[in-house]
Amino acid sequence: MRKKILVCDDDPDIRRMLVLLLTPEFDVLDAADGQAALKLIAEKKPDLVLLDISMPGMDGLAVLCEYRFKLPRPLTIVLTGSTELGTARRALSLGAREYVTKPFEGAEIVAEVRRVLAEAERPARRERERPWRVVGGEAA
Amino acid sequence: VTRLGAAITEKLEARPRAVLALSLALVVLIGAADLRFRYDFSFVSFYIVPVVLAARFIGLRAAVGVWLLAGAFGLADYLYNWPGSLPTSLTHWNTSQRFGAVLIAAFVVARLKESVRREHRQVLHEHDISMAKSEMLSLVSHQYNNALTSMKLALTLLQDPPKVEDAPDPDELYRIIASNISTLQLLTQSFLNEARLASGRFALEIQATPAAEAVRDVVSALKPLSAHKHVEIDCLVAPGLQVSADRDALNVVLTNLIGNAIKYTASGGRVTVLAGPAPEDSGFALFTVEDTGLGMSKEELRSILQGFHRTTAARKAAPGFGIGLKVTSDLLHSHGSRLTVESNPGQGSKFSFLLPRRNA
Repeated sequence: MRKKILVCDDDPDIRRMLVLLLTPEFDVLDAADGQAALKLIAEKKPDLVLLDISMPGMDGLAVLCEYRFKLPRPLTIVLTGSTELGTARRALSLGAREYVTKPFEGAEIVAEVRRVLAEAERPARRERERPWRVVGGEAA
Repeated sequence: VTRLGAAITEKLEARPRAVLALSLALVVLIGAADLRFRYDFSFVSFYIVPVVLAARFIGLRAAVGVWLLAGAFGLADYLYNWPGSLPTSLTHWNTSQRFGAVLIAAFVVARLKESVRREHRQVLHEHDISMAKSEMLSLVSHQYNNALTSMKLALTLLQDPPKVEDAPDPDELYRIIASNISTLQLLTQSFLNEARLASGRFALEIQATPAAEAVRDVVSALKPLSAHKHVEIDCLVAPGLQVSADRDALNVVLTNLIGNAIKYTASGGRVTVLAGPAPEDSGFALFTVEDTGLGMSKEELRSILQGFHRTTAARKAAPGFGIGLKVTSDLLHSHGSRLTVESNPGQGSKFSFLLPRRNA
């Protein structure tokens, strides 16, 4: 099944081009500001959100705060300026999976989206490798 | 106790009239007590309290006034209670010394207060400017990054067009790249101009400059931006009009004004550039740039012209440093002219300036 992705950026050009880049692989929604993004997250339940941090009005961090404790929570990749590492760190502590600094390449962002989705698909490492034995079971 | 003291100080500072009334009342009280009881309350320097109060919370003039009143009471006391003793009392060294000491205390306190206030104002001012600059810097890097991102994404889409129904039109992508280059150019230029002006390196070379050419250069340089925003530019320049101005400076001024007009006008809007002889044949040429854009209030205008400030609506609408208009008005100032603005929120803005006309 195709994954659903929400692109939220206040710059109309960037938003439109991100949508174009992702459309061949994913179902893409877009929002121009934080409020619209929250509404779409609640209604359409995207699998992943590409979230710009600096937006007028409700910014990316405020959006992250809003859906921090709500379930199901979409995976989030935040888009920040290269000089805003502190902001990126805060976004990660608010539950974002990854951050990408602007200016980024088209290929970079698509690869990042694929990677984050794939990592979320994979079961947790501990569970997969089963480094324990069930005592008393499976008689050797 | 410190906190209580600070609270009282703040209250008193906010009410200079009440403090003056209090000081005068104290003087009257002490003076009246002297007169009534024939006891020299003032002699033990009680007058220092109202005088210093006035000096600390109002100023030196009020303190001197209070001190003079105290002196008048002192005289009255001698005249009333010790008639005939005045000549010897006036030479009473001790008394005059006390009154003098009170006045000196008033001086010191008033001076101290003034220097503290000046320092405070200076610190506040510097803080304001540095805050505005650092805020601008983060905004600037944000705008550069956004423009570069747009261009990179457009290039990716041009090199490797995605195979989808709603495929991107290459023309549109080229337009995005061109308009972002214009944006970056404007940002860089206005930053450099501000730096040049601030360091005093904008040497003007006043010469005969054809207005039509100046306007045409700027409008064609801004074409990508206006095309992308679907804003139409109408130019009307009187044929053969020449002005005395520095070419580069006039270019910067027009670029800032027309660029701003495009940036802050919504898609489908219109920008009108007029240049012609000023009315009443005053020997000046009048340039006008009018838009149907955001507009702004009087307070916003004032802070914009100081530089490093952008209106809330402007921040939402378009990238910029908030120094364009300051540079423009500084440059016009160095031409002996000034920028006139008529603007109302939501009703567009009209910027105009005069330059001396040159006969061809």
